[in-house]
Amino acid sequence: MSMMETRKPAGRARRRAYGRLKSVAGFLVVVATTYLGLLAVTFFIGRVVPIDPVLAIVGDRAPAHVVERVRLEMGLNLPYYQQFWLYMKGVLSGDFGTSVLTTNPVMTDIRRVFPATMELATVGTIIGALLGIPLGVLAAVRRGSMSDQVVRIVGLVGYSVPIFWLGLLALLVFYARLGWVSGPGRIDVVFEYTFTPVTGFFLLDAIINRDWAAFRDILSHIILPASLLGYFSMAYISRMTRSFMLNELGQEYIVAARAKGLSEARIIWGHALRNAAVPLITVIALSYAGLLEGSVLTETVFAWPGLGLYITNSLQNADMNAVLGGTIVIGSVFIAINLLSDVLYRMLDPRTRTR
Amino acid sequence: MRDVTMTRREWLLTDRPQSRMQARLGRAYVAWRRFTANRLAVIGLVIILGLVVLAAFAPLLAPHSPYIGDLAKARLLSPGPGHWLGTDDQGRDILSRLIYGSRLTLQVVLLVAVIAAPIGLLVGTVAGYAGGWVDAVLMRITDIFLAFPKLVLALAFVAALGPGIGNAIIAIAITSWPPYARIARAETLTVRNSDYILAVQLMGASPWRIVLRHIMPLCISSLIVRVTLDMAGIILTAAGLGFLGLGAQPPLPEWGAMIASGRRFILDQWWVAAAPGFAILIVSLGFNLLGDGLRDALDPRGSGQ
Amino acid sequence: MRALLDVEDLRVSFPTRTGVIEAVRGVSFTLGRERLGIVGESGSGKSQTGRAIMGLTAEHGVIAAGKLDFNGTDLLKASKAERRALRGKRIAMVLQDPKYSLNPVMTIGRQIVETLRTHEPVGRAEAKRRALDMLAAVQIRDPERVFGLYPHEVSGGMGQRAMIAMMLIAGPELLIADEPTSALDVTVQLDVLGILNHLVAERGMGLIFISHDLRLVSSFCDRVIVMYAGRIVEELPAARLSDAQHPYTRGLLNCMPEIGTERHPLPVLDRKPEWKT
Repeated sequence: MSMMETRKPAGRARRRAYGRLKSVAGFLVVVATTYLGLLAVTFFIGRVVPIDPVLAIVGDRAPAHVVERVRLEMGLNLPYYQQFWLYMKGVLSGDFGTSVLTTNPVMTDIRRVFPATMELATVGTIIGALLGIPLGVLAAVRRGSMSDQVVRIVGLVGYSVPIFWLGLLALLVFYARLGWVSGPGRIDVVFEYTFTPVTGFFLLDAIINRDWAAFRDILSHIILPASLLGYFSMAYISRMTRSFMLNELGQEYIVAARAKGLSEARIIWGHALRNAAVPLITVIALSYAGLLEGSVLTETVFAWPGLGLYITNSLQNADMNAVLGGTIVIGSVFIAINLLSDVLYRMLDPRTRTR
Repeated sequence: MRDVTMTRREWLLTDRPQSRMQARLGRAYVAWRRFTANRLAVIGLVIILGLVVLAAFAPLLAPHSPYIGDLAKARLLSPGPGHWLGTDDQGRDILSRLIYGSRLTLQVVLLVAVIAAPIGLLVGTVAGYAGGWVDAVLMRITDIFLAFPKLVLALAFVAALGPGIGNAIIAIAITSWPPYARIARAETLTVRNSDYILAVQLMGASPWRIVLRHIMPLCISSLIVRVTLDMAGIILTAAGLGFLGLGAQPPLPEWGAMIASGRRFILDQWWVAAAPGFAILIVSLGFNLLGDGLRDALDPRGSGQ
Repeated sequence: MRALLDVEDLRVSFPTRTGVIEAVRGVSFTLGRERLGIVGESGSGKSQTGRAIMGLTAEHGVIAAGKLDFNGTDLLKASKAERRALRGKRIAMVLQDPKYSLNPVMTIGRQIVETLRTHEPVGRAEAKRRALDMLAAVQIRDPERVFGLYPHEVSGGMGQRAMIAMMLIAGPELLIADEPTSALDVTVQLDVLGILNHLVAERGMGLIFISHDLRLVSSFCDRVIVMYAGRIVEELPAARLSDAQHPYTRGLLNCMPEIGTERHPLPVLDRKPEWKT
C-alpha cells in the first residue's frame, strides 16, 4: 500500500488499453484477410475455373448479343486483377449480380430465403445443445459404464449417418406412415395469405401475431428437419462435453469442492460444467455454423425454402452468380460466428476477461 | 544375454531391444494390443477390411450386373430370394450395385487422402520448421480455408468444374487439407528445437532434408489418425455431392446418387433408397470406430480409458 | 483427553489391471486437539491417509480399517450423505496449490460463501459478512476487494489464505493440511504457517499436517509420524526428533544441510526392502 501501489494503476490501465487495442487490431486483420481470402476463392471459382464464365452465368441457350453484353458488363475483357477489384467492390456493396433463375438481384433472393435457414439451424442447435450437454455430462460422470458406451455409440452414428438419407427415412416414417408431423415446406398453404412475416423467423412471427394455429403448424413443419440437424449437432456437442468434463473432473478444485462438503450434483453442474462451459461455447458456435452448412442437404430433402435449397436449385440450373452469392453469405456467417465465439469465450473466462 | 531364451512376447516387450527393428516391432505390438483391447475399434477394422474385400472381388461377389437390369420383369422388386435387397426402377439388382459401389467409395477416400494429406503435411512442416513470415503466411492461408464452409465450397467448386466423380474428388481434397497442415505444424513445433534435430543441423543437413527425412516421418502417425477420422466425413460429403447430382453420374452405382434416384419411390419402395444409405452409414461408422481406436492406441493420453 | 480422531489399522488399496496397489498398509494413530505431522516421501501413503479420513479416496479405491472414529462417529459405517455433511463442516482440508485448488471461474468470495451456505442456513448478507470476517481472520487486509476477485488475480500466498478461509469458515474441529505451503514462495510460507497455527490454536482444532519436509513439520507440530511405503515407521514427539531410532528417519534428518559443515558427498536416502514389512 505504498507509493508503488498507488502509482501502478495508471500505467497498468494504459498498458491494458494498448494491449486491448493491439488485440482488436489483430482481430481486424484476421477478419479482413479471411474475408479477402473468401472473395479470392469465390472469384477464382466463378471467373477462372469455368472455361467460359459468361456461359456459366447466362446459360448456353442465350443469344449471341446477350452473351457479348454480359461479357462486357462483367469486365471479362479486363485483366484478372482489375476484374477482381470490380468483383470485390461489387460484393462489398452487396451486389452479387443477378440470378438467371429468378431474374432478381441475388442479394434480394438471399435476403428472402436466409431467415428460413437461420431459423432451422437455430432450432437445431437448441435441440442439439439441450440433449448433447446433459448426455455428455452423464457419459463423463459415469465414465466406462453402459450409459457412457450408449452415448458414445449414439454420437458415432450421428457422425456417420448421411443426414439427407436419415431425413428421407424420417419423412417416410413420421410424415407418410404415422402422420405425426407435417411434410415438406415451412408452413401450410392455408396460412399463406393470413400469415404476415415480421422477423422472417416464423415461430417468432407467429408468437408476435398471436396466431396459435399457425404456430402449431409451423412447429409441426420444423420439428422433423430441426431434430435431424439437432441429432447431428448433439453427436458433436455430447462428445466434446464428455471430454471437457473429464478434464475438469480431474482437476484439484473438484477435490476442494468435495472437501467443502458440496453435493455431487452441485460439483458437477455448478463447478465442473461451469468451467467446461467456456470451451463449450466455441463448440456450440462451430456446430451452429456446421448446421448452416448442413442445411444445404437437409433443405433439399424437406423442400425447406432456405439458402441451402436456393443454392442447390441454382446449381442445377447452372446459375453461377446465385451459387457464389450463397457461398459468400454462408462464408461470411462462418467468419462472423468464429468471431462471436471468440468474443464470448473472452467474456466467459475470467482469466481472459479484461476488467 | 542371448542365452536366456525368450518367448516371442517377451522378445517384443523387452526393455532392452537389441536392434532398431525389434524396438519398432515391440512398439507396434504394444499399440496393436491396446487397439485390440478396444472391441469397437476391432469392429471398425473388420468393417473396413470387409469393404476392401468387397471392392476387390466385386465381380465374383455380385450376383448380377450392376448396370444392366431387366426392365420388363424386374422393376422395383421388393427384397427376396434372387434379389436380396430388391431391384431399382431400371430392374437392376441393388445388392450388386452396392457391391460395385464400394469401389467408388474406396476410390474417393483413397484419392482424397492421397491428394490432401501430402499437401497438408508439406504446408504444415514447412511452416513449422521455417517459422517467421513463411509460417505466418502459410498459416493464414490455412486458417482462411479452415474458416470456410467445406461442403458449400466443394459445391461451388464442382459447379464451376462441372459434375463428375473426378471433379468431386478434387473439390473435396481442396477443402480437406487445412486440418492436416495444422496438425503437421503443431507436431513440427514440438520437435523443431529438440536436440536430435539440432544434431542433424550440426551435421550439415539441408533444411529440406531435415523436413523430409526427420520431421515428416514424426508427423505421420497423428496424421494417419486424423485422416482415418476424416474418411467418414469425406464419404458423407461425396455422398452428398452424389445425392445432389454433382458427384458420380449415372449409371455409376455411387451410393449417394443411388439414394437420389431411389428418392422418387421412397413412399412405396423405400428399400431402393434405404439400402445405399445404410451402406454409407456402416462404412463411415467403420472409419470412425477405426479412427477412434487408432487414436487411443497410438496416443494413450488422448482420450478414453 | 478424549481423542478427536482414532485410526486403527487403516488400509487403502487400488485394484488395477496389473494388480492391487496398496497405498496405505495398516496405519494406526490417535489425535487429540493437537498438531500432528505426517512426513514421508511421495508415494509413502501420507496423502492417501488424509484423503481416506476425509472420505475423498478415488472411487475405485478400497478402504479397510479396524477402526476409523471421528469424535464418536464411526466413519466406516457412515453413509455417503453423512460423510458429506461432515466434510467442510467438521473435518476440512487445505490442498497444496491454490492455483489449482480454487475454482478459476468463481470469485473467491462466492467460493467461501458456498462452503458456509452448504452447511448453515444463513442468508446472503449474513454469509457475505461472515466471509469478510473470515478473510480478515486470515489477515487479508482488504477483504472487500479480495472477495470480488478471481483466483488468477491474487498471488499464491493470498490464494492459500483464501483457501484456508474457505475451509475454516464453517468452523471444523479437524483440519487436514496436505502440503499447504509447498507450492508457495519461501518468504510467504512462514506467513501462511503462522496464520494456520494461530487459527488452529485459537479455535482449539485438531490439525493433521502432511508434508515431505521433516524440519518444517518438526518445528510446527507437537507430534510427528514418519511414513514409508504405506506404513508408519516411527512416531515421536517433535521436540525429541533427534532421538529418532529408525534408519529411514535418521536418513531424512541427515539430508538436511547445516550451515558450516562439509557435505561431500551428499548423503543419499537408502531404502531397505525389509522396512516395507
